[in-house]
Amino acid sequence: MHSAMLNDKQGQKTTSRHMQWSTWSLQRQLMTVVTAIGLAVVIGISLVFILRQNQTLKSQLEERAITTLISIDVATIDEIYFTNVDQIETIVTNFTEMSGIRAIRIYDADGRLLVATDDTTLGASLTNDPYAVTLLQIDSPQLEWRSDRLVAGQRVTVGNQVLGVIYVELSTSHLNNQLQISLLQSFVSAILVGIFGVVAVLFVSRSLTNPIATLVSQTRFIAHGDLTKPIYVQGGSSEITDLGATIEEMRHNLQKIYTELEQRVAERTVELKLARDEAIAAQRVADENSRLKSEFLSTMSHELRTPLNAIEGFTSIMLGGMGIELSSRAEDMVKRVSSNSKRLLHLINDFLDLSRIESGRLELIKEPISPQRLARKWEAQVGVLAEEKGILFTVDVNPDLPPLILSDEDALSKIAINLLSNAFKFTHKGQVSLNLQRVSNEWIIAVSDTGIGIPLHAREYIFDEFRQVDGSSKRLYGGTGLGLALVQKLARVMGGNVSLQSEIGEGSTFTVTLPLEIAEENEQGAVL
Amino acid sequence: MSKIPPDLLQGWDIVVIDDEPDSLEIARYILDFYGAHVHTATNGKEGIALVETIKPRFVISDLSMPEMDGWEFVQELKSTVYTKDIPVVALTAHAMKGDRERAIGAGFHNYLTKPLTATTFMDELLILLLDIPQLSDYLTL
Repeated sequence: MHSAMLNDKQGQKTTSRHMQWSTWSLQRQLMTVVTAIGLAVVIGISLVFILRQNQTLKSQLEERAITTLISIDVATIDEIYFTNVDQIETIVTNFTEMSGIRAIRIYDADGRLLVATDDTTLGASLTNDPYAVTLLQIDSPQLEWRSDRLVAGQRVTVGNQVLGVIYVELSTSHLNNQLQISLLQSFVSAILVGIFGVVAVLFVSRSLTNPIATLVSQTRFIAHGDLTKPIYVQGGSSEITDLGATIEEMRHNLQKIYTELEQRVAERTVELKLARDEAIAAQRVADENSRLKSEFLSTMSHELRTPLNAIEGFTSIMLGGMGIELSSRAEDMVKRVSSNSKRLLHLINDFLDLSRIESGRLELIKEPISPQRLARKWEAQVGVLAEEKGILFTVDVNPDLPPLILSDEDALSKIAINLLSNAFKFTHKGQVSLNLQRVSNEWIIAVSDTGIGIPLHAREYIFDEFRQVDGSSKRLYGGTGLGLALVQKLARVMGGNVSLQSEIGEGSTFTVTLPLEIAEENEQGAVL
Repeated sequence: MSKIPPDLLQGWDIVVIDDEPDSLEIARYILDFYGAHVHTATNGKEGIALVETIKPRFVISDLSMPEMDGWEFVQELKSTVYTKDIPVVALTAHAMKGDRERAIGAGFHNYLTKPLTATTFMDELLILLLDIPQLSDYLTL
């Protein structure tokens, strides 16, 4: 019962602190379990021992009681037979001197008390005691355990004649003392076992948990990324040293892998850096090349134009009526020099413009421009060609066009002058017309002529560089073949395009379509 | 504008600065035809010395030149009290967008683009000169 109670308590503890149990340190868990088991074992063994001892003591006492009964029987049988009370009393009193005998009573066959060594009022008659009554009927000795005593009684008989009853009370105090001593011994041994258990567990768990704690503190370095600290567990069970050794092996391998990885990263970084440096160097070279190309174009432009400008300047003076006397043949030749230098200048300009567009260096600006003024300017520039060839030249600016548009005047002029020059070049009679008009959110520059026309097959490549209809026309009409290519590229750069309608012998119409951007009225001041 | 009187610049001292001898020669010939005394220099430094001694009516200067370019020249000229009121016209072969504004901002009166030809040079120059009050009065029109 004792152990059951203990187990019960333990059970309660376990359930109520179940959540904490798992969080307890290993040491605490071990200590609790080992102590509980130790105590349970000690208490269990003690209980069995005590019970058995109790049994032994009881049977010893019972034996003694019977022996005493028999001794008294033998000693007193004669005196009882003769009802010699005094003698009985003397003998019985002697017996009471024996340890553990509380009282001896002798009753006669009728159950009347003959002799009592204790307070006689208690057992004045056997009839007062239901136990004693049974004694008269039964031959064998009767024993009965009472709270603090063992009561034993036996009929005294001679042959079949019942003489009386011997009644003995034996003290159980000796027995109780013995039990108390045993309990005390068990209690002490339980405490000792408990203490021993705690100490033993402390010792064992230390040797168990210390290496684990060491392992934990050492592996913490690994957890924090420091792979350089070796793991070494001193003492501890072989499992823990095995664990330590395994972790150490793992750490060692990790460190190796990590070092290799670092090395490879470093190598790759160097490679990447090299590659990057190379790329930067290549970019630098490319930038430098681009800059040099740009510089080259600029220098070439200047260097080519300078001598041509000189030719143009001197021929203009010779032909400009500035008092230079030329024979008619000389004048003709100077004119040819002038016209060739103009062509060359034109070619250079077109070539440089194309180069600029193709290298993306053409910078377009947007400024307010009056289409009316532009048309007049172009008319003035090419009108002389019409006069020279005796061709009609009409210019029409449709009033649908806003008074000011946003565009790049240089680019527009290059487009228009190229188209007009071409038209005059290939038209021998009839007319050339320039038409500026609005078509919804676009506007067009259309140049029509009544020239030779362009054959169908040529329309695909007429906008390519250095392509004229055929070799013979190149000879017949001269020109560089750059003009239309420039027109198309400029139109596209400006967000538009150029299209062509033509009929052999009837003439051609080039239509440049450009996005229309209307300039604000207040920007009008910026024009002119 | 085709008929410019041949004595338009009669007696004018004009300084022309350019590192290209041909260019100088063309300008000299054209201006000379209209009666001017043309003085030439091949860089800004020579130009300054020339302007200080000649005190011309106006100066035509190329922009890119060795030793002292047109920009430095005009800056130097405009920083001297004696010469700061002399109009300077820039002359350049490659007229880039915004050059006109840049030239005027730097102190040039305006600019002319190459090539210099008998037909266009005088027309453009006349327009510029008419725009300069201190000079237009002297023009023989």
